[in-house]
Amino acid sequence: MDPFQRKALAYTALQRLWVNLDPESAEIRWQQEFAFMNLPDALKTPGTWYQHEGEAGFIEYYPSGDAGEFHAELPAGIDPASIVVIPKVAGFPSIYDRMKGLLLETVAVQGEANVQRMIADMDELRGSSHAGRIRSMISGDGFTALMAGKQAIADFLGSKLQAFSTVELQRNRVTGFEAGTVLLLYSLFRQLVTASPAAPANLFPKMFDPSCVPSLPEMTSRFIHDCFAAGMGEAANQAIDDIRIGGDATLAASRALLPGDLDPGIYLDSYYAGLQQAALRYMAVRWGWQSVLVFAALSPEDRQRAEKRVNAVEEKLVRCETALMYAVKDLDGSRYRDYQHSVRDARAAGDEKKAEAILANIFDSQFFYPNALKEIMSNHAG
Amino acid sequence: MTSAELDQARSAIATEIGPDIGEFTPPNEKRLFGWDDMLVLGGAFLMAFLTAFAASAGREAGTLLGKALVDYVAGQIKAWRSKTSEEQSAALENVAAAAAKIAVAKPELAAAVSDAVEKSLASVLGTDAETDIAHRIAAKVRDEALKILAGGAAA
Repeated sequence: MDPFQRKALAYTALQRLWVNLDPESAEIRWQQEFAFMNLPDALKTPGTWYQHEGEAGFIEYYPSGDAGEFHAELPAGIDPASIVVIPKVAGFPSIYDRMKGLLLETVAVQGEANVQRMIADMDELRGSSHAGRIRSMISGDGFTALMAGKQAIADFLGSKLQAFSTVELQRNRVTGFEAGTVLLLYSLFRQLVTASPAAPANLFPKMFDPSCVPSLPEMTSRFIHDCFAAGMGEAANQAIDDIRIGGDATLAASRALLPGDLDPGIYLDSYYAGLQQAALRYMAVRWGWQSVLVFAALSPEDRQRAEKRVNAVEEKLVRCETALMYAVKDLDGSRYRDYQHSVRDARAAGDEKKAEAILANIFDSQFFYPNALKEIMSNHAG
Repeated sequence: MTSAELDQARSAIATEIGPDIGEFTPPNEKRLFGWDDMLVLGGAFLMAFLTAFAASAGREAGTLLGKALVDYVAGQIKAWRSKTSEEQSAALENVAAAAAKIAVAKPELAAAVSDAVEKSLASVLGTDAETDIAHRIAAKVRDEALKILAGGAAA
């Protein structure tokens, strides 16, 4: 693999992380991840509780040693004196800085004008006007389609979904969350047009009503509320669940990806690209159910079901997001080798159960690599 | 069957549960579940299947059917969660041995009973989980349970 390709893979790994939810939250998570990695090993003990310097809330580091959970309050029984405060690390480059640096290193190949345009897109995505611009675009074009009939709306949402979830996402022109939200609108629309009894005609224009909402996700959330208020809750539930089924299928296909003759770096890049597609679907599902929960007149059973669905999809989403972060940390393959050594050490000590647990944690509990590498890692670990 | 074969079956079911684990855990237990949690659930589902199989196929007066079987499976999953890890392993070995004996003694019943138990397990799991996921996991539990029963019969 030549240096340009290596830089391209590093860029795409960073870029997926940066756009997945939104740049701001990615940067915060990135800085916190680095601050945690910077702690001495003696302080990185599974089961320990942490707090980021200057931040509210606490993090429980799970016994598996590769994930944690945020708690707004310290649960009873945890000694506040035992909390490890993770200090901020000054001067650690942001994801944006790294992406921009990589782009500038490729001017000779990509051309100055192209690189500057890409940087301008990044600047727009993280700018304060981006969310409003996307909301207005979908709203304006959606209203135009509305005038032309239901097929025009379906065509409009289908084409936007296609663009947002692929090219626009890769070019830093939309976030994964925005792409997921268009998917949510598209799925809602498909359910509503086939619903029986039919959805009230005055419901459809509300889909593209931009008033008093700052972003596309907020506009979509309010529309879900409108669906429930109009008695179309079942259609909305089905629309959200259709996306969950699509997310599960996308995730399963990614995990089953075979290496074939692909270069290992490109193979893994394809795998993580698949995880990103699953993640944007899961974000749509989580947002969908969270929006359902806002509807005050929800029955207790429906509320319980929606709460359950939020939790269930978060289990999947967190794993996809953790793997996208892991992809950046393992660009040089060093973590893969570390895990392989751990499996080998466990086997050398006669502890096959531990070796199996390490493999299961990497491949079955977490999604660090596609399933095809499980046997390869296991066999090469001796 | 050996304890290694039972471990293998639990592990295969845990792998199938994987990221769907949130479907089978209470909403107030909001956390990122790990491999150990998946193994516990894998054991619970396998235990429920084998116990229900043995109870249903072993009855003199006909098999447990319908809601009675569903309730039985649900009770087994609940009982499993109150056991320690050692108790779980011992209970699984005992019930696997008992179920294998019945499968050998009544081979004509094995297919029909495992069909009924799979449906009951899917029904129980479906009270918490989405239907497609509940059916997929129940089918995997049945596959692994039948391997255990076949291994026991061969021994």
